[in-house]
Amino acid sequence: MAGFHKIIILVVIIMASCKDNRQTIENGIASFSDIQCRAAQLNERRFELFDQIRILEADTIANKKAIDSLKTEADLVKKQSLESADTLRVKLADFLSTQKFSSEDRKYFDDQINALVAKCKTNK
Amino acid sequence: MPSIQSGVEYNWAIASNAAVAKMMLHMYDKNLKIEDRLKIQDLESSNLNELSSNMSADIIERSITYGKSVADAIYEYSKTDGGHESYLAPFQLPYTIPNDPHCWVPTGAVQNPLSPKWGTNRPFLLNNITKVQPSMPVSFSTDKQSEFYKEAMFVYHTVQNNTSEQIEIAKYWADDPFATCTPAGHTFAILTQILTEERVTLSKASVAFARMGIAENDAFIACWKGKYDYVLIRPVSYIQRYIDPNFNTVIGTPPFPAYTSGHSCEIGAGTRILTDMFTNGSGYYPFTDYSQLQFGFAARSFQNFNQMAEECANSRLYGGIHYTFDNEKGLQVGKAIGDNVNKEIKWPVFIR
Repeated sequence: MAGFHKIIILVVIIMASCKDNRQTIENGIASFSDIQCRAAQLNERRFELFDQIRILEADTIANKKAIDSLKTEADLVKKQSLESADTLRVKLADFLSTQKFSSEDRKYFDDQINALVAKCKTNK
Repeated sequence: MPSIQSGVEYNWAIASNAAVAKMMLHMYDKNLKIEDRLKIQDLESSNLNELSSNMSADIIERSITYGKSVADAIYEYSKTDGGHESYLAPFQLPYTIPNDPHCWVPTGAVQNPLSPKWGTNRPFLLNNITKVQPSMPVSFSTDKQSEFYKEAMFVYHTVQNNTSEQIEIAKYWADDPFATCTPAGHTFAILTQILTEERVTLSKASVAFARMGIAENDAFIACWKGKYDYVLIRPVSYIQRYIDPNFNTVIGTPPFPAYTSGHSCEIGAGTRILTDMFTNGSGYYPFTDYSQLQFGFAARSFQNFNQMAEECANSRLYGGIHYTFDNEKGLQVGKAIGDNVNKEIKWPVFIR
């Protein structure tokens, strides 16, 4: 019976530890969710602008004004995207390197961060 | 290469930090904005502060001096490789595009192909250029029954029927040089992530970066040699001429010939280095690539480095910018180069 109690206690400790890690992951992602969202939205806009420019470049003379205008925005989006990437890369590296996650925790992190990116893209 | 003084102590992390910072300043010297120069210097200072605690001033000074002297020596050597200061004139004009139906034509506003003379640069291993050049697997033809036409039709149908996942893959691996860290930078980011996760020593990290750097350098030279030996027309140009004038690709076609795929060459070379350094040769290494989160993509997971390389190569088909044989032969060239780098250089073995 004592052995059974030990197993129960061990299971409770493991579950509590898993819950702790999940909370840490959720808190970590929440701490950079705004900038992650911004990166996802800039990404979407960057590809939209590239597509529009490519189509207009079929006739660079007739579409010069429109192309120039889109290129101005595209340059700004690229600049903003690179700036947010600089910040986000450091935050992500700090978060991932300071934690000791199990493979299950990593899977949980991957699912949570990818769900956030998907949500950001649909909420643009 | 500068020698070290015998009987005195060096701190190799400090030396490496100084070498990397000096090399960055050298490499982009004539095109470096003040703010970027400051960023490099700030990072160097910040790393130095972290590494210097409880370290005597003479060890610090000696290590910095040695690191910078190594950077200077390598940079001097690089001035004779043909690619020196290429960033100042990447189109290497003048260049005349051959006038033949099979040849590359502009696919957008850029009228000149990029780096036509890159294939003549000096590689680290001559075998990487002389022994791995592929022949053209499919003869150019506009005949609807020809293999070439079928290859172009395959690109056409793939783009028309792409799933949302395939479109995402095309964008994920696009690695636009002006908006992301470039294709080779993507592979280096994956290497850096793995080195960090494996908590390796400075020795192993240095060897890993050296192996990857040599492989990537030679892969691009070999690839660009092939590109300008064949000067093959891009799928978008062929399809618009002979199949459907309204055809559009998923992502922009870069301004240089098709055969072979640069992405496939570089990821092929990179994947052989990763496989040799981190697996028993099988390539099996489950990991998640977090490097593109910074650019707003979801993280992508792989079971195997080969799976990753295949996905990268296929992304160029999904994007509509390469024929299948560009990707297959590109991977083949890249992997051969990676293998050469692993085998032909005597790398330190007993490192963690």
